[in-house]
Amino acid sequence: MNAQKVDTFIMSNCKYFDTYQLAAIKQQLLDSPEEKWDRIQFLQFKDPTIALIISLLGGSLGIDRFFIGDVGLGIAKLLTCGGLTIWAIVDLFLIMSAAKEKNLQALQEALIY
Amino acid sequence: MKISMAKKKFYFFIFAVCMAGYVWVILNTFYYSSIHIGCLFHKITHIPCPACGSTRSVLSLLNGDFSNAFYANPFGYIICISMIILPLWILFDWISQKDSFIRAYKNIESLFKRKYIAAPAIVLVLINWIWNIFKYT
Repeated sequence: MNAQKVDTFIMSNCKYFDTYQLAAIKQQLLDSPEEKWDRIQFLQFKDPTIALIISLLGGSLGIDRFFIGDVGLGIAKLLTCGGLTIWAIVDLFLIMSAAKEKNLQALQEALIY
Repeated sequence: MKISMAKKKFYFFIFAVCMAGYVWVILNTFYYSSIHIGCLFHKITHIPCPACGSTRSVLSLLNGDFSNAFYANPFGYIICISMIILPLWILFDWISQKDSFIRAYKNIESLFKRKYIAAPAIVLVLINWIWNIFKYT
């Protein structure tokens, strides 16, 4: 893929991924064929900051997990009232990297298929 | 079938959550009145959360009291059944080296993402929550 397009993508989307994954992502994008660009440029990613805010406001209800697409864990969190609030607190720290993981998965799926 | 690192973490997590649930239930059977973590949601907003009463519900189920269990919180049924089935399922997968649980989990997840399943489920949760608010305020 065109280096300029890859740079544009990385610059506008770097906050959606973990820092240590960005180098691998850049390499993967450079190695991908040009046709994938159409699929990549329209991808919607989950903002980790929004996820954190949702976790602060409604972590006990599990809506932060629903937001990033973890439906099963979201249901479990809802049924247990944020895992007796313990899980809700732990998730305040985990939710940002969980959102970034989900974004990475979405990117990989778009690149592979 | 080889199980990857992420799957092992997932299995371990679900198993640990179930064990934590057992510890909670056991603690509550023996020391009922002295434990009160309290719901953070309730402390901040002063309204009960959708899962309020589920501990009491599970305890009633263990005593065979089905109607009180439903009255305390219908979620107790779901929690009780999950806490029995999930550890057994995980052990079965561990012994037979399969990944049937995680595949079923992913299927159920994609099922719940469909609107015609998610919308009624959300409505049921809201109804239960409103009922909780009436019961516990």
